[in-house]
Amino acid sequence: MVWLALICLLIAACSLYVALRLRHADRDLADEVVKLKAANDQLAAHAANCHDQLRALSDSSGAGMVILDPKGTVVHANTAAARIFGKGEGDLVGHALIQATLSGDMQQFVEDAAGKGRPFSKDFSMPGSQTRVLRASVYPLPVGLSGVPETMLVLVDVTELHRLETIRRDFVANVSHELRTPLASIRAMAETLQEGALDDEEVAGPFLETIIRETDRLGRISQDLLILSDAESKEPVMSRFSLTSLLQEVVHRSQRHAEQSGVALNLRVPPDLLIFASEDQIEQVIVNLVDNAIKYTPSGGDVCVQASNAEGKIVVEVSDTGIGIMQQDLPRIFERFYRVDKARSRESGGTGLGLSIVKNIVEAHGGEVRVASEYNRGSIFTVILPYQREP
Amino acid sequence: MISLTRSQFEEELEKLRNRLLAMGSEADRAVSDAMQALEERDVALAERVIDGDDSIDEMDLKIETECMRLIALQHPLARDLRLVGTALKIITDLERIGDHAVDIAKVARKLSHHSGHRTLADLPRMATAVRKMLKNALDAFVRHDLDLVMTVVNADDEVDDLFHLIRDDLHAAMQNDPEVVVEASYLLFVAHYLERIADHAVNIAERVHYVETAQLSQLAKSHRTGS
Repeated sequence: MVWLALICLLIAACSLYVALRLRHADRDLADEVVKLKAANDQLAAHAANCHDQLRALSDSSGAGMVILDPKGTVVHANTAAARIFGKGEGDLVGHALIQATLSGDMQQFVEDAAGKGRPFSKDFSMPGSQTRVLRASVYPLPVGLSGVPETMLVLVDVTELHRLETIRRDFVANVSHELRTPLASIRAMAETLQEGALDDEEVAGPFLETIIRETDRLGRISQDLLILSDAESKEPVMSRFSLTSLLQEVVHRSQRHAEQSGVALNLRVPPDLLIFASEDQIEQVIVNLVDNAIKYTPSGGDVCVQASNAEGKIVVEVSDTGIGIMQQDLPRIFERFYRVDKARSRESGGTGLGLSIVKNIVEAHGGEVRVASEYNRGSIFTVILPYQREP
Repeated sequence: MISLTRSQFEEELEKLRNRLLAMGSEADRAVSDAMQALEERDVALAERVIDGDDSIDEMDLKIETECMRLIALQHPLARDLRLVGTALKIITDLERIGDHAVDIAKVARKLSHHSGHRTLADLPRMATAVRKMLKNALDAFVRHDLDLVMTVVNADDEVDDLFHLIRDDLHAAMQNDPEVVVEASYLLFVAHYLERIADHAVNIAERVHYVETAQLSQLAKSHRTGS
């Protein structure tokens, strides 16, 4: 009996010990769970913070940033990317890139570049637009946002860069062409004269006339380039003068040219329109516009010069009933050496710089020049200058 | 029948959408390149457009096969069925757009040897407007955007007006100068091809309207009147 009681006591003591140990272990476990939960919360907060920082960082970038998972699905797109494609950020995430870009070429490029393990970059003309160009740079991310290899695509709108590059390339090509043509002509004539034609009056006369004409053309080109350079680099020398008198004088001087071309040249200007600007440069603007209008108006047509002071702005309008300009040419007519009809412009002694000079001078005065034109019906060039008071 | 889970089927539909967009992008590029070849007398580019049509035709067949597979194996219903049916219609329009781009490239190739004066009238402007319609139609498809559908439909009237303006300009040019008659008559064809491409863009927009509303309707005035 005593033995049985002792065994029961021992069992009870063991049970008590085990219960106490378990309770202790349970408390330890609960403590561990609390600690782990706190650590987890801290990590989650840190991750959320990192995510917010990453989003803030990517949103602060002017470039579009898109991150794609291995299947090519967008997992992150910043504000700029959404803006570039005219969509909300949420519209991009979860879909293939092509649903935002509509560009099969870019999709293919990203797919090809993603697997190559190094950055690639290429410019793409975007669907639906002849002029919009995006530069897409692809960077492989060995460990991305989700811990698996991802691809980062950086998009920059380089439309303006492409436009300027085209203008620069055209300018260099044009300036060398414009100089080479008269020089080649002068050299050919001079060589012919040197080889004996100098003694032949019938040949020598016209050849010398051509040499003088081509030399004059070179002179006009270099003069126009200088005017253009001045307009771009120097502040206009401003003074108060009568725009009315200036317009009357320019129109008076151009009457002879207009009569020879059979064009009626009219002036409508209030009697006392004053302006504070560079007189020489504004004269150059009016001369170029009137000269062009007469040049491109067939016999029997009209050219009209009008000026007014409206809503604090001086507006000068030169309109004609001439051959007009096609819509496709309108965006480029102010570029240097851009000619709508190259042969005709050269025949009439144009340098291809007249409208560039107009634009540069007007913009240097804080104004703008607009053109409205209908092919075969005529053009209207409008110069709008801010009305500036003499300081 | 190989039955897919809903999410797998959704994935298949998403792939179908992406393939359609890739085909649309090819068709748009063909039109853009054909017009550039015409403007710059670039025979090599015109040849590339003509050769590239095979790839658009190939995409057409692949997507058609994919649609038939989805219909046969998954028996799509309601909106899913409309989407697959619409994909079949859209690829036909895109394939025709590719063919018109080839037609324009052939004119570019022919005119590159032509020594006459060059008057493209407002064709580049018309091409830009037409390409924008195509882009908006595809965008409406992706965004399920009925406002964009109407933007495409309304733009068709503007393109038609532009077509009439160009036609009148080219007629006037032919009357004024017999030397431009051959060139201008080819350019009239180009204007006609662009006008047809705009009609195909409207067809696509009308199909997007059908997917979203389940209503088949001729939204464009020209389609309603048959003019």
